[in-house]
Amino acid sequence: MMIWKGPLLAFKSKEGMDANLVKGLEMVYNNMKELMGKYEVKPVESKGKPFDPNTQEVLMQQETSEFPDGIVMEELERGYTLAGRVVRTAKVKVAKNS
Amino acid sequence: MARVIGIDLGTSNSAAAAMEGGRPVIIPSAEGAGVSSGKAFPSFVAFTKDGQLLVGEPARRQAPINSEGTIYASKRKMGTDFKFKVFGKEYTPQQAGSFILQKIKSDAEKFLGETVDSAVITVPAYFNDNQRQATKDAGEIAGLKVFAHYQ
Repeated sequence: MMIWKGPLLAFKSKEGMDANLVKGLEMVYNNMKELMGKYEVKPVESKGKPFDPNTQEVLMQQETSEFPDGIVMEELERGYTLAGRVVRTAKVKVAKNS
Repeated sequence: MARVIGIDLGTSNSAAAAMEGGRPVIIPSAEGAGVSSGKAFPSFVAFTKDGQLLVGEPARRQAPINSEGTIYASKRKMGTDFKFKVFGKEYTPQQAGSFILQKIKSDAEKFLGETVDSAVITVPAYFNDNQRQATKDAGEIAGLKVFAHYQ
């Protein structure tokens, strides 16, 4: 998971990168996605859903009117399940309506 | 035959072990030891607004958004007449400790595949009689026969 985080972050900020480097990153990204699919590793879907302490961990809370109370506003770090079992929790920011 | 386990009931985190084939083995929590906090059983108990009881790792994960519903460091109040007030209900430190011990007992039973009915629970060397008795009471509320306190 720690190794996978690097290429994933690099891939997210690919704008302005050398085209060959982006192509290489795409290959790593696709290979990793295929490998994760093979071993039933799935990302935890968080954004816009109610906070779930079984799969997510709160790092921040923010007052907002954009989301209902207790809804995940932002995923700060992706979480994963392995064959249905949580191997890493998603780190999230949760909405607060006063 | 029912099993005996050893429990380190800590202020921030708790841990448990059992003898397997003559060797001590750490008991992982149902969430998996090492997920998020890296500790098997954070000593957290929480009641959500919808009435759900969370113990251990899930309780720790939600603590920042539910501070009024979360009990932690209950060991510090063991042996006193302090009461944790959560959503209008009161809980003694023994009751809070018993929720953690119950979770450890249940996860140990799942891990070992056997009933766990007794435990040795650690207490700090400086604990007085009240604090030791309160720890024992917590174990008994959780359905454990407490064999001894280990300092």
